[in-house]
Amino acid sequence: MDDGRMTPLDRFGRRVAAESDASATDAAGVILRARRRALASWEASRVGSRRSRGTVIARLALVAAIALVVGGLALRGSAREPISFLVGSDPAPRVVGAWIAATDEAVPIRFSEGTEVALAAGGRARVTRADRDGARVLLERGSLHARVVHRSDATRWSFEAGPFEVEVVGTELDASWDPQRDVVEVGVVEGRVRVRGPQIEGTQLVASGQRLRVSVRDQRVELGPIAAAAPAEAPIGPAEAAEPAAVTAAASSEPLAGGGGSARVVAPPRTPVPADPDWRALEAKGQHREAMAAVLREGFASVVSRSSSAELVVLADAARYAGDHAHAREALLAARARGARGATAFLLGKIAADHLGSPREAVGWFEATLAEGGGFAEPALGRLIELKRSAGDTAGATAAADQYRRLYPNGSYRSLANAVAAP
Amino acid sequence: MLAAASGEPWAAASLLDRYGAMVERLLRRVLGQDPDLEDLVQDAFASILASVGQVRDGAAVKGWIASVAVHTAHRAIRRRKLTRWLAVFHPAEEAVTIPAHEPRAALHRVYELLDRLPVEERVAFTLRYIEEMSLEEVAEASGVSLATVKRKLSRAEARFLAAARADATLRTWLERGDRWTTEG
Repeated sequence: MDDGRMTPLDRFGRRVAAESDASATDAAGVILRARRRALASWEASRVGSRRSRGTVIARLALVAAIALVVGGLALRGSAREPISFLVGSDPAPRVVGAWIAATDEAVPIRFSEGTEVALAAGGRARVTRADRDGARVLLERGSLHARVVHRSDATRWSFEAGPFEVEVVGTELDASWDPQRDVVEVGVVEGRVRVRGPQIEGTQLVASGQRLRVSVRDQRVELGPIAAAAPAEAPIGPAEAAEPAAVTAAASSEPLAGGGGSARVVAPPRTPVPADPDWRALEAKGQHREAMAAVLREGFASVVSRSSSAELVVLADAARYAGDHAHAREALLAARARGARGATAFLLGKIAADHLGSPREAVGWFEATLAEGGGFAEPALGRLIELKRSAGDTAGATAAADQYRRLYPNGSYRSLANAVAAP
Repeated sequence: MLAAASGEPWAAASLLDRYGAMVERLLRRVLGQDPDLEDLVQDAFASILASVGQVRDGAAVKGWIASVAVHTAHRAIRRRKLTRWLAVFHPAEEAVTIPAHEPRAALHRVYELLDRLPVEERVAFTLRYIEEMSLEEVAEASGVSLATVKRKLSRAEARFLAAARADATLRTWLERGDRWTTEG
């Protein structure tokens, strides 16, 4: 709307919108979690309806199957069939592009040519290509273990983990991708793989017995032997695979080893998996209050003491969404003590500003967020404008607003920045 | 759209990726701060996925998704009003935390006043003035005629302005141009 034609109510509404947007610092998280749960429910309902339709047409299918078997025998050997795949215990093949989530236990993905992939608990993946020569699996988050079957020289199997592509030349590997810390790990048990992506010039060959670890954020590439304490092979099968696979996922969040240039690989510590009830599983289902209740029953300090930095960030999320901001703060501080960066400083600032009434502390955390860089710099700078203005620090607020307008001219705090910035 | 309607998971995910932010923003701006916002966004997403097959015109997708979000907000406001009515017998559950600093407190106050408006008037007001929709867009998103929107909006403006001018914080907001803070 043309500013010159705006009524007082128009201006008022725009102001309310700007303040509403400024308060929505977790909007991306809200959308992501709601999207994940809605898609999971939608997929589950589709599987249900598919099963009921299957019952109705089962007899017709039997007749068709006999015909197909006869036809298939006639064609056998003349051409390879496109690869199909099953997920978990669902007998119906999944379609390419389907979202696959392993919440509280590992999920096996079985391909028709014999390749088996175990997606570890907490992981999320999609099969983005499946044809006669192989398939491509996109690992959105977490870890997986794969045994790839090579049917011929034409076999083309690959995995994508964040910005990295892992082209499988050999047969057995494990891979993990931690999107929060931008860390990829690829371990080759047998055969070899080629990895392409940030920090890698051309391709990096990873041979049998080697593990490659790349931290995009720290601009560090480490290649070395698979350490003795590296995660064990994840068995293909839901119940058995859950425990070791979960350890693999947690391992990727530990701080990287120092000594740039050395081929040292940090052996990921095994994290004891707590017995009943598992707060992680509850949190993965979005049951934040129940997850926190389980943590408190088990003992908050005890859970913190044996959790990895990545798990502590998840614990902080559970506490925040359960409205337990004091425990959220403790979990985040513990995560930072173990090397976690990224969102932790921003979340500590948000908790201090919005829930603990500590604007001075919040300013410190938001400034730390800016210093650490990453995806939360924009909202952190927006919050700094707001806090400094509220504290009467006109010069500080104006400087932050000027910086914001320069760096994020289309950012969500632009209305506030425009209002506060120097004329 | 056709791919999402025919059950292609990648298309359904793409649809939410493209319009998810709009759904979250609409719900937040119509409802204000709400501890159930994430659940409401999920409800809206679920409605979108369940009825995506009803939309045949690709150009109408955005408007249709906005109407799903507005419908979700409508239901949430009605449920909230019912809960408050029942809470008369349990006043302790009504405790709210007023944010510490001025803009947040003012924002809280805006939505307290909006809570007093009838649902249809509140939705028309927030879509028109906070979301900056045109009258035609408000009508489409609300599923009512243009004449109805004008009537609801006129009443909402009168009620809201009267209440806001009687409120010290909001009166300042209304009177001080487009600056956020007191100047000079």
